Amino acid sequence: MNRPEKKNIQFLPPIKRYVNAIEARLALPMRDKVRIMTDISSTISARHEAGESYEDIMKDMGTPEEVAAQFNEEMAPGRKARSPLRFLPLILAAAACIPALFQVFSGIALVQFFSSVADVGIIGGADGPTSVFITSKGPGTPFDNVLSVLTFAPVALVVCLLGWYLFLARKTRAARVCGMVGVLIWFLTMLIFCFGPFAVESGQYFLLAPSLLLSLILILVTLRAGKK
Amino acid sequence: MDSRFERQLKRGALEMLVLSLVCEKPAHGYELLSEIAQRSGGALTLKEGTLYPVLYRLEDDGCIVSEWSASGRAAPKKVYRVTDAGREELARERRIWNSFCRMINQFVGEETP
Repeated sequence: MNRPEKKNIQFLPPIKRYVNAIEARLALPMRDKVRIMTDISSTISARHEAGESYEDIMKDMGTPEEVAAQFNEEMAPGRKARSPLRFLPLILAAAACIPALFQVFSGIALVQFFSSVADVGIIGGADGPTSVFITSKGPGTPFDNVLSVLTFAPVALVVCLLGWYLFLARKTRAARVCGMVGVLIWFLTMLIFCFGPFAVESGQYFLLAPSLLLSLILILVTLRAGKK
Repeated sequence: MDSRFERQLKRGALEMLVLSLVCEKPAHGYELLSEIAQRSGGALTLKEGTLYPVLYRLEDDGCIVSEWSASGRAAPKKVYRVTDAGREELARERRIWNSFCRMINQFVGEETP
């Protein structure tokens, strides 16, 4: 097997790992997978009862890649195995929302308590709630938080969802177009935050960096998907 | 059996071949694989990835049904059994096959020893 296996899987008997490896490589609906796995199990049982060793059975049937490829080709020609990475952009999009929500609530709180709490802000990037921390922010500009979040959160979401769509759709032309749109959005975001009406003091560029980096990664992934 | 012509012939006849074997008696996948290899003298050696999709197509068409069969202490196995519709389908395919063979032989003739 090419993939490194997890430690807990190593405890399983080789024949069980072999069957699991076949199942993992089937790019078919669940109904077909169930049919195939019950038949493969029946075949292995029958051959073992007929006196064949598990090693011989596995050798004769072929590698899990070969067995799964035969089924995939026969039952869904042209369809490729779906990568679990297809959910990555969606997860990142959700992650981008969490710090954004923190910032919105922080901004609302700042508006409510205005002067007294105005010099404390919660900083969060698009890389998850773990990056949220409290820092001194200088002169109070509570609306900056709200405005920056309202501006940036949809942008991050759009870029993330574009990546998700591309993983699902696997459309080459769409990948290129969406990649270019992603690049455009990214540069516009940079321009807005650097020179636009919502420009904030230097401390807040730090919190924008993870979000912009995330967008950049997604754009690169998008462009890469477009080449396939 | 490696040439393209042979592969296509095998592919075309496989469904009828499998259906005729299941018609004889209910069988699980490995029995069918062994039976085909044995009766063809090793000329037809199928892999699981070729046989099972044929069985699934026949099952989806209502020609065969699958059920679990347990005997003694042996592990239960998934066995395929023919239906009435499957018998009718086999009779129909056999007629088509025979008339097709006759028609093709009119062009290429039967090989004389």
